[in-house]
Amino acid sequence: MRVAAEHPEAGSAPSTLSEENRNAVGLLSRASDRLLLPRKIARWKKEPSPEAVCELVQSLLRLGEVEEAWSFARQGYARFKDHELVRELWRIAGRAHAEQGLKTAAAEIESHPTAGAFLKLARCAVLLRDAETAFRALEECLQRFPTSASAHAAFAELIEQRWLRELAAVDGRAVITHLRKAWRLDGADFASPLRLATFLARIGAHRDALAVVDEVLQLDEQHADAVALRETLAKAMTAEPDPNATEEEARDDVDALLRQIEEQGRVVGDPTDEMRVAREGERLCGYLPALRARTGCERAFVLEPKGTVYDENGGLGVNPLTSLATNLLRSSLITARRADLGPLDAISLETGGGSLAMRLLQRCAVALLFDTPDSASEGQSALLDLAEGRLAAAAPRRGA
Amino acid sequence: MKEVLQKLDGAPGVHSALVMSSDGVVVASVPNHHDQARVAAFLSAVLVSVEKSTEKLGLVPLQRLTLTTARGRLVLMPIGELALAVIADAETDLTPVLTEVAGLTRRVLRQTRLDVPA
Repeated sequence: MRVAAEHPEAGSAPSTLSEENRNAVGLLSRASDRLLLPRKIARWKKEPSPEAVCELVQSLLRLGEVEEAWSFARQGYARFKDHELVRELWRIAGRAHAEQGLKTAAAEIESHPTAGAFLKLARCAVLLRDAETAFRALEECLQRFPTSASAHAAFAELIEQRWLRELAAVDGRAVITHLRKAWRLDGADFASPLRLATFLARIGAHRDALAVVDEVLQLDEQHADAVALRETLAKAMTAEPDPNATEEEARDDVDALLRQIEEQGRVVGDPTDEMRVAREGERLCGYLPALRARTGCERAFVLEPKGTVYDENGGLGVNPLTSLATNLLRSSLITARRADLGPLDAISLETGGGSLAMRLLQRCAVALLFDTPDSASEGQSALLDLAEGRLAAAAPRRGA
Repeated sequence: MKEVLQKLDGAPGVHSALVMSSDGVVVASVPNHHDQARVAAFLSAVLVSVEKSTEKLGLVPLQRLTLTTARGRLVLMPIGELALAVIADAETDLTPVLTEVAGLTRRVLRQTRLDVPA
């Protein structure tokens, strides 16, 4: 920029001037913010209101005082959670804070790499929904600091999020391994074993979960979370009694349970999982009219992992189309996983009589049926826009 | 058949390719390794799982099945009684090379049938 100012070329002068104008306007605006800042802080402290916190956070963000902006945005969010603008500014300030944290952590890793810096980088990346950076940061952290219990715990948390989306057995095994390592490396921190027990219970390995909780209770018999979890597990165990089981039979085959979940595409008996899937399906139904309007497809519908198929008007029942979609999705999921192709994103079936485009969005899938053979790519493009949040939803509720 | 598949070996974006029968038996593959048999078996299962429904819906004949995954694409193209499966990256347009290989495979199949004594 300096070079251009010192050596102006033909046609570059107007842009330089407008840049200077913008800088001048920005300077004046910031000067006014700086002058009014103490008054705005005092106003918020004296008479807290959504308007006061919004003005204060906006001024601080304009001044680049991200840390302070985030602090006040959190205070405002805690008091006025229902106010739309307060929520929006809390999100904006949070994002700015995470971006700043990401830069600080990256600089720290450059100059003085520590496990803490890698963890901070991963945390900020997660806040910015950049899972890839978070994974890379934690993988590198574990390579450099293999004895960091926090890194193992954070990595397990990240993989668990992916497991909840994709239900890959390999991720489930990794969650268990990293949580066990985290516990072994820091025996005083009971968060990891309790998370391990919760995870084991979620996949149906109640006996293994109970064994983990009992180990925690041996170390701290008053631990409230462990006591509560033990009670829940004991109830689940009494619901499935098997008095004749030998000691060997009484153990859970965690690997088999994880494989079963992967193949079925759902966590059987986990109500939170079913609710999560139902919420996602309902949200996706809102996009079906927009997908039909954009692609001109013959049919558009949502598929749940357990095989339920519906559109915004309700369930579609069993017919050749729903059978085709569910069978194709299930067999493709297994093929992609077992042939080591990685998690499945999309399926395109092109035939002489028409085409079917499907895309997995978190746990559910959206399918579009066309009566022309070469429309699958157009359908995939629309579905990709949906996946990446570029498609506007009509958002009518299912069954409404 | 192996010579036909050599066309795909080294083609931009292509990682591996195989020609399989509809019941999942590998006829030829490049590069040749045991994983190809596993891919063929699973692809055959996919085809079997959708066969009846596609017929009922009039979605025939199958021209191409593409599975897009986090690591790339798996493209399946029926060629007569056989099927060509290609594992490739997610970006490269495979249509020209697949059309060429499908044409060559059809020619090989026709020649093979002519060679078979009546």
